Amino acid sequence: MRLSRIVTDVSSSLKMLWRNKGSLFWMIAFPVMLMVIFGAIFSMEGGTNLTLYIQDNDGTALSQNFTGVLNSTGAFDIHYLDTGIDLEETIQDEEIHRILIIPSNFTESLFMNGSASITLRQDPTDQTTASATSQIVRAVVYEFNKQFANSSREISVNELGIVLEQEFRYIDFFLPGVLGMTIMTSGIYGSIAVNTRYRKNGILRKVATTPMTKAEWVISKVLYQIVVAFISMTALIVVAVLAYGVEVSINPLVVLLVVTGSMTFSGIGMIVARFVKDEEAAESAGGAINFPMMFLSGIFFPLEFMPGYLQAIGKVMPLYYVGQGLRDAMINLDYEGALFSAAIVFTLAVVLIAIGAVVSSWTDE
Amino acid sequence: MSKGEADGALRARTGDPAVVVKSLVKEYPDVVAVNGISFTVPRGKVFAFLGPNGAGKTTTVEILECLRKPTKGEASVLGYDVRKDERRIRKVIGVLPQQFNTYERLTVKENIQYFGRMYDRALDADDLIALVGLEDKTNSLYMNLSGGQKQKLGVATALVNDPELVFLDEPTSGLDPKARRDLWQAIESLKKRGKTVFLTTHYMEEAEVLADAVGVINKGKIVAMGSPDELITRYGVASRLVVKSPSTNARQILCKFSDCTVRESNGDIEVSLSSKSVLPDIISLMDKNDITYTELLLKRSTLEDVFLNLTGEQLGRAE
Ligand SMILES: Nc1ncnc2c1ncn2[C@@H]1O[C@H](COP(=O)(O)OP(=O)(O)OP(=O)(O)O)[C@@H](O)[C@H]1O
Ligand SMILES: [Mg+2]
Repeated sequence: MRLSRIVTDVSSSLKMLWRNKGSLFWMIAFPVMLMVIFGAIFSMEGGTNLTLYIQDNDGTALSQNFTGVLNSTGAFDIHYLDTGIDLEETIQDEEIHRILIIPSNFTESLFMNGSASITLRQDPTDQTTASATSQIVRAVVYEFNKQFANSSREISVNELGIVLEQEFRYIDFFLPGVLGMTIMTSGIYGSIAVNTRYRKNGILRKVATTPMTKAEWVISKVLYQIVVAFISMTALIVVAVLAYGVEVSINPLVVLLVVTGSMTFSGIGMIVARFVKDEEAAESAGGAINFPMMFLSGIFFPLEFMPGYLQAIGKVMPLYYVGQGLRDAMINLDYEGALFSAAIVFTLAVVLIAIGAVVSSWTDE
Repeated sequence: MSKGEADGALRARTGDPAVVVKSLVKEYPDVVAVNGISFTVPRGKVFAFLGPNGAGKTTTVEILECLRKPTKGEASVLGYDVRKDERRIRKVIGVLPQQFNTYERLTVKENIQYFGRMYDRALDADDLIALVGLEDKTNSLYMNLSGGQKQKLGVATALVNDPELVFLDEPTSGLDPKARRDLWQAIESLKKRGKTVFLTTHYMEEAEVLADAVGVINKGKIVAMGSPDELITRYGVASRLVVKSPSTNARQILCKFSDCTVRESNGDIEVSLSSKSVLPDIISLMDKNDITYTELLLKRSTLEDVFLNLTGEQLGRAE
């Protein structure tokens, strides 16, 4: 075993990947795009309008007039909340992101004291919609105040935050899944490609005449897949954190799952390439493994959404354990669950790589 | 094993021929690719394996490169057994496989360096690039090279470990005459540096120009072996004199003198010569009988004829 040969092969492969913009796109840009698109689709609120909850504790003609004007801007879907409910509980239950509260003494205070304040509470994590909401509400209040211009009465807006308890968003669910999916796709297709193409075009034969051994070759190829998996992971996590504020934990279990996941899928690719020698046929065979696994393993939506028999199939898919393990390790911080998945993936990795290495032919015979 | 031991083992074997093959057989389910061949290639020589498609050239060479396992028989390379000493053999041979291919998205230099790093010691990439005349393509990607340039790169990668023995499987297939001559020069420079070269070819000229020894192989068997000159003397047909556009009386007189054939298309007459010494006799005979002609051509026998003679088959021909 010579480390320099492995390092040479892996670094050359990475150089070639860098020069192959097509592969680069599929391995790095495509998963990121997929994540951004799905993240956007599933985090959107219905319609283009923002939902604004209003609790009108005053209930006078004036306060109703005010909320009526707010409604007529067309900027909000307005939902009225009853008075006398437990506001905090309702906010959490309904996942309310913005609410306008009109106090019960609104009209009275306005006429008696010449001023009254309303309270706008918003979830500040959604910065763009928060400032838009604030601007619209303030514009309406400003217009309203103009009516009182000669009587020097004024409504003021009191802004407060809402702290929603961290709910599980789709992006939190999808990030580990799309990472697992990327590891699978590049592992299976990547190792099918090197094992069929390099055999067919004779590169394998040429390499086999040098002192490089089959073991070194197999290790290089798997190592390369692992490096690529970490590159994809970095791109996905950076975008998820910057664009969605996903809270991601990177810990040894995450690393273990990425490494063993890469090995598992490289092993599957090697085995496929061994039995289907033609490159195109082998890629189709890879697709026949890749696509069902992608949709049955709880990557795009939780396994529990599927009928029981499909769940049973999902639970024998290696990708399910990679995705679930990563979700537990990165997002849920359920290390026990992650360890369980990691143990399964680790076992699969060892077995599949061993089979792959034994069956994949170094030379023609 | 330490490097010192490895070198020691090598030195101990410097007396061995470069290649020894004894009764080598390689069977495939539907064909016997190599059918009991034996030969020896001495060190420092250029040996050419000459044969038509499917003769068993690549099969033999790849057995010597430890890429295929022999069915029966023995083969050793630089004193090492191909069955047992694969790892030692790989260090000391260089290989240009038939239809060489390498990494498309690495440059000429990067490809040479890649293969260089597979060995403990490697020659300088720039020197090798100069040797095969690819200086102006040093930083071009392999995918952007012409066929001939790719082949030259292949030869450079075969030399990267400064091997004792270089296998070149059809090094000049598909090259234009200029590229072919360039490669021949590179191969000759290897010989000057004391390397042993084992090449396969379809081209007679190639074997005649480069080889010290030629093995003619057909249908898995070696049908003749020797230096190009020996083979031509032994198996070549007699030299012939071609008389172009002769006068009408020529046929009767010349064909009485010796074996001759008449080309019906243009009336040219080919006269077989038992030896060159009869040439003056023929010329004076033609003078005496007032035989006129436009041209006289003396055709020497070639390996082409040897091959035709031995196998009854036509070989490929360099254009
Ligand atoms: N892996 C294999 N499986 C089955 N038959 C094979 C295999 N390799 C070679 N053969 C057969 O063995 C015979 C010799 O093939 P080989 O490649 O050695 O010929 P060659 O002399 O190199 O021909 P060419 O000049 O066309 O390269 C052919 O009939 C070929 O079909
Ligand atoms: Mg061949």
